[in-house]
Amino acid sequence: MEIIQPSDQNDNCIIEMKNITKVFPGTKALDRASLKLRKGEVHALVGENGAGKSTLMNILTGQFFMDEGKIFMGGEPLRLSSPEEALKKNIVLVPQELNLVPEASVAENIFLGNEIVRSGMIDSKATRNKAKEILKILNVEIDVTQPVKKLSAAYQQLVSIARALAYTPKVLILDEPTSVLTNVEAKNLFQSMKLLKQQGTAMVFITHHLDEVMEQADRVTIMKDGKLVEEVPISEITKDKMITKMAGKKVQKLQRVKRNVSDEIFYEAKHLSRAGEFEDISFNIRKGEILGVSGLVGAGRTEIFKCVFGITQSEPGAHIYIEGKEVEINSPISAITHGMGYVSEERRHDGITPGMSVMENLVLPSYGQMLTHGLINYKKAASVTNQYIKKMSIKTASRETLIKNLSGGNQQKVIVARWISKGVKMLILDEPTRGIDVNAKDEIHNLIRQLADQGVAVVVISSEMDEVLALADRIMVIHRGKVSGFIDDVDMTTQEDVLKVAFQ
Amino acid sequence: MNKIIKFFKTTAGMVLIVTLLVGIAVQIATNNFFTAYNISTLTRAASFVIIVGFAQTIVLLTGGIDLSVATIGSVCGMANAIFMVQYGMNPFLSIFVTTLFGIPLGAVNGFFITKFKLTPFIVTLATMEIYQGVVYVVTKGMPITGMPDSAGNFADGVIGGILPNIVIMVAVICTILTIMLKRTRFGRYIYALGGNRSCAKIVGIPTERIEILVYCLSGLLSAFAGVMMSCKLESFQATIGESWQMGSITAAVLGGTSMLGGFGSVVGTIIGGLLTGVISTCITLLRVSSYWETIVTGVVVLIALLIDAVKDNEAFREKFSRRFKSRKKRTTYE
Repeated sequence: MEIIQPSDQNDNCIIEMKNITKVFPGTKALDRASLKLRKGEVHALVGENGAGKSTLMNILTGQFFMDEGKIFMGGEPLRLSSPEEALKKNIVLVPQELNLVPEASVAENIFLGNEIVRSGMIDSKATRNKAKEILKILNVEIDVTQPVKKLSAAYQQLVSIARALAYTPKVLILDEPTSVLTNVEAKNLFQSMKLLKQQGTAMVFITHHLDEVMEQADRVTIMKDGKLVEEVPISEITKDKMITKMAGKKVQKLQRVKRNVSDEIFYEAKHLSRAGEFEDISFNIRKGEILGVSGLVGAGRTEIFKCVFGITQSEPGAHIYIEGKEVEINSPISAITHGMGYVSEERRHDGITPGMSVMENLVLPSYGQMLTHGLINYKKAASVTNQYIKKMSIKTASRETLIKNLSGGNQQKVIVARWISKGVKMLILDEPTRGIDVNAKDEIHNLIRQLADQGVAVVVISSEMDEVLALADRIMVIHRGKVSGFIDDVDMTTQEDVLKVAFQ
Repeated sequence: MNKIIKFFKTTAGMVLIVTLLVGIAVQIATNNFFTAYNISTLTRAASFVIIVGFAQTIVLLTGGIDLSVATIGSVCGMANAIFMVQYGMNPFLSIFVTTLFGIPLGAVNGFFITKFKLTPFIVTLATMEIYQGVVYVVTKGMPITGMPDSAGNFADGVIGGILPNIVIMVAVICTILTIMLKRTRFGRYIYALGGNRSCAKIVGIPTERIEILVYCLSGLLSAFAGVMMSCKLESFQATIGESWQMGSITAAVLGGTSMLGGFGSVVGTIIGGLLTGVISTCITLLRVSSYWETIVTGVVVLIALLIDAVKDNEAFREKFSRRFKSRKKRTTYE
């Protein structure tokens, strides 16, 4: 057995993870990975989906156990057997998925599990004041007594960061903290990170936005396939080099492809309205067209298309036409019978059924097409699944693997394949590439184009402007629940133009 | 071969091993366990809770719960007794008709749960009380006796001294339900509903219809158990099937069905039901006071589920193995 010793301690090292190996059934998630965190640094951790970043962080925060390797904190070996122990050592994670109690107040959420207690009772006054103080570090001023469910996703994210700060972290791990934040809020967060840095907090910053890495991080650790590729100071690397190292091969920037679209209108909506969400939305989409939907987070994009797919109902006065005929869509079932499919922005909430296999998740809406004598023909289901696993290069051990064991990008591919294999005529994709790495993103973009080339009308809702600009044939810009304009000539459009339309 | 190993790693597999071990232990102690008479008595007794367990399993799979299973059985068993004794109805016709009564009784649960979005626990708790009340109002707590022997022979008969009729019925129902759950759209939708309700809605599954049907099916199976029980006893008492409500949940959960929905099987429920049956038989064979039965059952259930939890939980396993390792280390140093 080899003995792992901590490295020399002369460079302010606070945490050192050495030669960490972690095996999951069927995959080696980490293969002798290492990470070194120094006092008062922002350490970016980058890599594709499935590179092992989250696994490594889950080990550091006591959620998983490593099979091999050692962790040292200030030179002393550290054994963590539960998340509580990690918290006691002031190692705190802000997870990517929100993890708040919606009914509880902001202040209660911030001190959840970490309550301020005076003589056996929770001191609510001190809790409120402390909560305000912490939120001030993040430059957030909100009423701390309101329930968290009243806040937007962005503010909820800031509350969960505040909760981490309540543990006075020595090591703070931020997993995709900016994915739901607007630019202003992200800037505020970066300011607060600088403040924490001065106080000596070591921060791990996981993100797919390499621009943010270049601007905010002091050092970067690049991972690929569970292994450490390189650890360098940020001044010694460029964004392109980073991408090359992450992918192992050179990846092209998002490229726009010019496409021809038919004139036939597939779907048309007139005067869709829902009080408090959006009003008087009218638009159409043609066969084979990719309609980009842009706008700030919270503008009502998601809500509009939930209504289009029949998950919610429009107020009276709306008219829907499919291929010129007026129809009524009042449930997902009727939307599906009219040839529509929907991939939601919250994959875990309503996209996947985690305990089911890849195959079952893929064919779930198509069972009706796979019956022999009233019974499901699994041979057919298996061949369809195999076909799409191959066609869309879905990385999975087998079609029987539970979908929850796949990486986010591959789960997304399965959900998209679910509708393609059903043979939809219109597909609504809400944030199809959120939290997905560069390579998988490119693959999904190509898939969307192929789909549109076959005549499917595709709606792509995205917060990432370059994604919309690269994909869309036409852009619908939403601002505060209203259509503020359409951009027909996407080729000549820049991000500023879209913003101008939004705010005009 | 692989499949067999895989099976023994599941909850149902573990419970089967525990069941066999208990049986073997009692066989060694009394030399009286693995006899044709004992096995046929044991399985005959366990079959009723297993059938109700099937009902419970299907409801649990959707993420719901049905507390009214026992009293639906009771109402239908009572109707069966009344039809045969007071109206002189043909026994087999009566069995058929009163079993079908379970469908509307279950539909009431499904209706309130889906249309008014009420919690299954509360709705079935309420209907449980109502159905129980109906039985007491109608019978005034008096037993109904004098059912024809043919009914008794049908429910309690044993083919060749070892194979009880009711066990054949369990096997047939289990086969039908397994095919339904594994090979039909309805079955897969039940799992999808329990696995992720929001996702099920988005992929176009008629969630409300499925849910109502599930409670109807649960009512039907519970009614069958109640009707067969009244036939077996050739009489009806208001206390029939009192223990089925919790017993059915125990059987389902010991069989590996998740209380959260989306995971489990009816085959597992048979194993779960057998374990509780074996325990109660063993208590009799070992001449332990029957007052101990529920205590022992509770303890065995806890142990079985504990083993299962430890097996699937990395945190527990790590803790145990570390404790074990550190103890070993200490001994080597000393």
